[in-house]
Amino acid sequence: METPNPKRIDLIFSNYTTSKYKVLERTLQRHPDDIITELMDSGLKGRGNVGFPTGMKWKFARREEADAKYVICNANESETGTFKDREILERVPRKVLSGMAVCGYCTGAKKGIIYLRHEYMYMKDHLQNELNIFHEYAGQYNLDFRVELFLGSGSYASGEESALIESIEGYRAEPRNKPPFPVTKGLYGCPTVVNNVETFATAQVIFRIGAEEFIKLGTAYSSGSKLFSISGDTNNAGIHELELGTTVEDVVKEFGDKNIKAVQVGGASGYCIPQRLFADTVIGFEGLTTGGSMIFFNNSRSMYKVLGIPSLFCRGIMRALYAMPRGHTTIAERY
Amino acid sequence: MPETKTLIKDYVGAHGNARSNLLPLLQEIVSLENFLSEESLLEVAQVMQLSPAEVYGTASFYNYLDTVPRGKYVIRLCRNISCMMRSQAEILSSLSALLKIRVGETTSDGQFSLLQANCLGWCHKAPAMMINNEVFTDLTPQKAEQIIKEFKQK
Repeated sequence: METPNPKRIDLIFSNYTTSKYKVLERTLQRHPDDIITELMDSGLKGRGNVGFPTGMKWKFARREEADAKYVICNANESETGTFKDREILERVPRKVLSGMAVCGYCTGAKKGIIYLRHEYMYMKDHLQNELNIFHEYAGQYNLDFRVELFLGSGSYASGEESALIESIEGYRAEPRNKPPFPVTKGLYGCPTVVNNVETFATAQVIFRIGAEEFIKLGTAYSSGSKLFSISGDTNNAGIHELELGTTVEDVVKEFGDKNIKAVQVGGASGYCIPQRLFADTVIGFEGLTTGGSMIFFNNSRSMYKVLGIPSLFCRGIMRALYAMPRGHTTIAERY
Repeated sequence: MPETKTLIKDYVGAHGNARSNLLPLLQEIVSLENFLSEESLLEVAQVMQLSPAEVYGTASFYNYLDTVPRGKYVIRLCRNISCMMRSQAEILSSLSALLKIRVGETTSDGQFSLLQANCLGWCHKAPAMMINNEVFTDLTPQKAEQIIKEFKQK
């Protein structure tokens, strides 16, 4: 049977209880190797943009021998047009904290840090309150894992994991040369897992429904679903969870206004897709990888003006981006 | 400044002078003084046992650690694509006219500074602005003016 495209999913925001940390409690009964294997079977890849396999990252950090290890949640969501992490932290913070806690349990890290971008300072008290509740539960489950908030001071580049670590250490948020990668030498030289907010929340979803269910969604190379931040010329602006592997055309049909002529996918360091490529452009790790930003432009827009805005923005950050995995080529070619 | 000196001394006294305390300390000073003066930066450098260039170099990297004087209320209007598409420019000109300042300037009474910022993360409710840490969305020129008037009475 034909399923409507794109397939709307409701995993990240659903099944949220504020009374207990049920999924966490259940997951902590399992052996760390077993949990990591499930995460690898699920095919989960980082939801920030780059798409590194999450299970592998955790596995690398687990096998390191060190006195201290860290788990960092990257909440420096700064990519143009992205606001999904803010919604996750506001609406389902316990899923994120569960994901972090399980990561701590698997890798042997005892300390977690949420790096919250300055622009989201308004939710500091809300998160601090959630952390207090989390610590009570962690105590009940005999889990030695504490999470702290670290507030950013306004820096797009901190979204890159090694730059983020520099920032926590008190330096300018400039990316480090790699290798070594943070999983071997990260915060204060210790093995560190840095994952995006949505990645931790999605890991929690996988622990709840199981890898087998998760890989029924998406494609062989891009399993599962993902949140998209949709804005611009649309009456459906907001967060929508969709199966990976859909085409830009499907997304435009479902959410866009009439006469959409281009879509900016992945924000300022992403790609601007013109109408003629809508049908052939797949959203997923085999096509366009994205943190989820989608800005629609209709016929009334001047693309000259539209592209002028990110180029202004890029000039300011280009130097800071030089060590980013994809950013430097993309921006240099496009602007 | 005497207040800031006390803040720096107390902060380092309580948390130590580890480099990782630099950004949280600078953030505290900004919430007290709205910006980082040369005197504050020099004092931080001395108490933290860092070179002034290190402290300034770090502070000046970050958008929200201002090293020029700012007003009591710093308005940051988002200048990203989705906000621009929803008449951000009109809001900017109405704020500018109401406060009689241009972008980057501070009112003569030291109450308001008007700045533009990169994506604030409210594209679905564009246009958006922040005043200090408070967020305002779905702005119209009238709504923005009303918000400023309320701040004036604070």
